Amino acid sequence: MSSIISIQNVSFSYEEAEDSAVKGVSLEVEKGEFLAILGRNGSGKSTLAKLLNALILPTDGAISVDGISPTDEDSRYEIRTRCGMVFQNPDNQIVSTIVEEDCAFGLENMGVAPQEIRRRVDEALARVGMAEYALSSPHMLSGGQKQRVAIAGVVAMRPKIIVFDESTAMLDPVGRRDVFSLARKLNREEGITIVWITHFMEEAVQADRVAVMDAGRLVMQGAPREVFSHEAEIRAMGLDVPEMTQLAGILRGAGVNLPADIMTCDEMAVELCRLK
Amino acid sequence: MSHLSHVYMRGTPFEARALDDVSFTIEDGAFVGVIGHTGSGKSTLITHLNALLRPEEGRVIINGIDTAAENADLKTVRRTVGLVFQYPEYQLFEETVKRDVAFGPKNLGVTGDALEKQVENAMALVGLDPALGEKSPFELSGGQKRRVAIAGVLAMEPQVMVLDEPAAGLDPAGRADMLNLVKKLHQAGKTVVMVSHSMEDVGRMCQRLIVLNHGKIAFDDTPANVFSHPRELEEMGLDVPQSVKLAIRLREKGFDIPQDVTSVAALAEALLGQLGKAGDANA
Amino acid sequence: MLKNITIGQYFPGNSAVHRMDARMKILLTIALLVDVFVSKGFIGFGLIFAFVLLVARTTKISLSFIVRGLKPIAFIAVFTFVLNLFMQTGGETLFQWKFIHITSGGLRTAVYMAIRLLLLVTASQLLTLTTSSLSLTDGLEALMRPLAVIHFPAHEIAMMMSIALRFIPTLMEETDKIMNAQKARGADFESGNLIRRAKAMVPLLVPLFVSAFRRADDLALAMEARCYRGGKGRTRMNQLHMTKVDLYGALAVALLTAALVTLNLLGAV
Repeated sequence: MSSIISIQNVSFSYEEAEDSAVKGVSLEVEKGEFLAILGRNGSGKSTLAKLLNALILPTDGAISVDGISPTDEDSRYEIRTRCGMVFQNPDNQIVSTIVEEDCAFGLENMGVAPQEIRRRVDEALARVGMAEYALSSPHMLSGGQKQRVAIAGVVAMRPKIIVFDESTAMLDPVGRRDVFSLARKLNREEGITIVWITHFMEEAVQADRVAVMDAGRLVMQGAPREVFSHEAEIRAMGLDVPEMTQLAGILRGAGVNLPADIMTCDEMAVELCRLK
Repeated sequence: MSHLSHVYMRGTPFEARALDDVSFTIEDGAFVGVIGHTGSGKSTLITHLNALLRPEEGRVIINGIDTAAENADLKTVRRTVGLVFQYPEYQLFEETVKRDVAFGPKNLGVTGDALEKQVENAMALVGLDPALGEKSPFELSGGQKRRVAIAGVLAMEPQVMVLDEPAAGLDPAGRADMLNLVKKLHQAGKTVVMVSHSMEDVGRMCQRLIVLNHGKIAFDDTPANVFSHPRELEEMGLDVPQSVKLAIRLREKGFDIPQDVTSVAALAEALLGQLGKAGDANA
Repeated sequence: MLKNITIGQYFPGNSAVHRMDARMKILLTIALLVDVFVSKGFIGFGLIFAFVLLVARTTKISLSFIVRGLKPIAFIAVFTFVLNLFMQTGGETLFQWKFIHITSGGLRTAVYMAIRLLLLVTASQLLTLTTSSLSLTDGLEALMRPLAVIHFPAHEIAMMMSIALRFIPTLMEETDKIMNAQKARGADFESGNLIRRAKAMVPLLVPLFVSAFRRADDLALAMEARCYRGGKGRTRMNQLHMTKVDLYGALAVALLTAALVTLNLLGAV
């Protein structure tokens, strides 16, 4: 597999801040993978997201998205057409008072021909299951539905990568599941590379790979099973591990012979029955 | 003086009935979790608890005051029941933390030393450093801002604290801190009503759960009893905690796990007893 | 409470009025507003009222919804009425007590002004209720395009208006939430004199502004992420085009205007 995003030794500091928000991060994102970036609030994960979309530029280091480096205005724009982004607050990313017009916003900015916009918007709304709401006003929708509209707006631009910056943080459990499974579907069925930024470990568990950020640095990366087996370190960073990993930790601590990388209820049930 | 906050509500004739024939009583000192998917009527319910909404049908009685009565003393009701909304940090407005916390009690007519004392106590209770008192609330971190907002309600010295998703939007460490704070409020003698989406949190913390579904009470029982209906909960768009799921599975496989296990810690304890025995037998 | 404010809201639908070209709708609304101002006398107002009612029926938006939109300006209407009643003079004296002096001329002007205001708002409401914010923007932008010659930022202004319209319901909801939160802290927005009430607004306005700025920041970022670079090179999904409906609409307003002008001339004679 080849990498579609390449981040080399990237640092970024906001003008007013003394400390860098991102410090010397190097990360490769493979084409077609579902990568979760986990970290507590203020760990620099959202800053990293903005770097991927060229909304901000590294103060140090090099970044390339689908082979393009954000060197000038045009290349940054080019990156945004290939790498879409869905934000945290569903209300603050909707531009229009009609669902389908909002969905068309990106394509209109790209200067796509009207009939083509129409076709892609209809297609994108169907893909996210919001076709019947095409003419509704967004503020009547639930949080999860608003996020789906936002995703449709990005999908219509046919990006190769979509970055989700804590897009489920403000949703209820039903909305959260909805939006997450939609992202998974886009990943599996359309081969869109997903960078999923979150602090919910239930979501990170289902990713292909997890990268953990802490205090601006990338401190761990690997398969979810591997990452979550380091329970003490994960907790020290203000994060959580799945309930079952937690249970395994307690039982192992008391001398029960269990593997360290248990993540799901099924695995735990099997292991415990074996011991009985 | 009655030490009982009594709530009794009969369907409010809203267009789409937000609440329908809801009745329950909350005892002084209780820790009650309210759970339900979005639109199940949770928000409507809690805004009735401090008379921001008054029942259109039925009655809500708070410490003997019937909020539906025309001459009801709403000020006393709001002093008795403190209501903390979701994302309460967005309501801060004063120049300093102290002044913001003092807003509530001032509105109730508290002044001078008493006011100073109430503000100090509230800040201490939520774990805010007194040194922050003179800072602008807008300079604080997200979690701290939320503490200021909660202190603002606590400073009114309510008997009952109603919190709508106090941990929403926080990261795991922030969540844990916030939930500890809620626990502390209960230990400090407050009656606590906590709305939450997290079955894990309410299962671990609350003594009693009220599950709302389409404006009606679906369950009103101990967490263990509520979680013994996993299928019904799933139909309401709710989930049982992983630990409860595992407990159910293991019981089927012949493990002896008490019915009241609703948390990882309790499950671990139950399992250790049995696995220990198995280990001894092998040895 | 505040959720009842319908100004600036779009009411989705597929009526003839909805389908009209935004440019035409804007022009016709302006024409209608001018009509409201030039007409004098109850026959003229009656005609305009009948016309507005007819348009409202065509949109299939419930009248009660439209009337609800008038509520927030009811206070202003009453204020205008009272002001004109006492300040305007002319005609015979109807009532006099100490310094209060009401004349028939004053009464007439007062009634006229109140009616004008209500008609004005209703007519503008019909425009925003039947036109989505983006079409409205497109229409305005198209109409202002000739001004680009003098470096008038037509696109920017249109976009700003559209976003303002989009966020009105969001901010209304937010105001409601903050108000409830402050009420739970014992705030009182309803009693006291004007100064006390104005003071009571501070706990409401500060958080509202903070939130509006935060939203503005977020939105700017989200727009940029979706390749927004200003008006240059932008296309539109829904092209504005005039159809027969626009022609009929224009004819209807022209007829109304002609009738009003005739009435005015007759009145003058």
